Amino acid sequence: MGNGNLIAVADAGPFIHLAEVNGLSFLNIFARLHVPETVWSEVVRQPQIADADFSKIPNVQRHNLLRTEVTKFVAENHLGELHSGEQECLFLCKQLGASILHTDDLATRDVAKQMNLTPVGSLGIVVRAYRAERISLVDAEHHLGELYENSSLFVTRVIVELALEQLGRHKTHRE
Amino acid sequence: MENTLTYLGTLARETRKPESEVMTMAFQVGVRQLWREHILGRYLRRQISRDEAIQTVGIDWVELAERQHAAMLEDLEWAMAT
Repeated sequence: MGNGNLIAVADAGPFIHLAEVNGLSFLNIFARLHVPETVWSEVVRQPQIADADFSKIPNVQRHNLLRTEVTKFVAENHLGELHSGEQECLFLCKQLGASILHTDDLATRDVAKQMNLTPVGSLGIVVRAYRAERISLVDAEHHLGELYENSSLFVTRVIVELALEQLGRHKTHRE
Repeated sequence: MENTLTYLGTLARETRKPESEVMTMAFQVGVRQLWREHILGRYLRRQISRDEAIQTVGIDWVELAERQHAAMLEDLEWAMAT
């Protein structure tokens, strides 16, 4: 399975969380990853992401958005509770017609679904990288565990355990 | 482990508590967290009822676990789709 025409808009959290588990390259499952400049500024400020890491994601396309347009969009869609990066991501989805929003924020996921978008978190990216045969099952299991153990992603242990169980069932099914 | 020792030393210094007291607190907090995750795990595996989980760890943790669980299932569904 290649990356086909898979495109998404990405929030800052997944870049940070995947970098923390050395999984930034998994984002290459997308043919193109669109990122608002506000989000990108947040990502590059993170000390845990080395400059060299960014070369692993050549598919990133940054977007400078007009603040007046974003403000109007936020008011029309009652998005005042979200951070500016999340607001811009939702705006960019609409502007580009992208249906996938890559975010680890639960509140943003809820809003995305209300807007008929498909929210996808870091956990989904790791599993998709396995599904696309970019990494082995062992690697996928390792990185899922790392997301709980060594990243700043806020997730309870049981969620990762249940994801691992599901992945194991999938493997059994495939065999 | 190195980080843990650094945290321990810094916490003891900045809270002006003996390291032994900080370690006791860390043990209690750690066990409480493990217990909470154990209960949430039993709830999400449908081994105990929602009411029982709420009585044990509180509604906030149960609701958060439910939201995270739903997000995880959505992620897996998307990731496994052909």
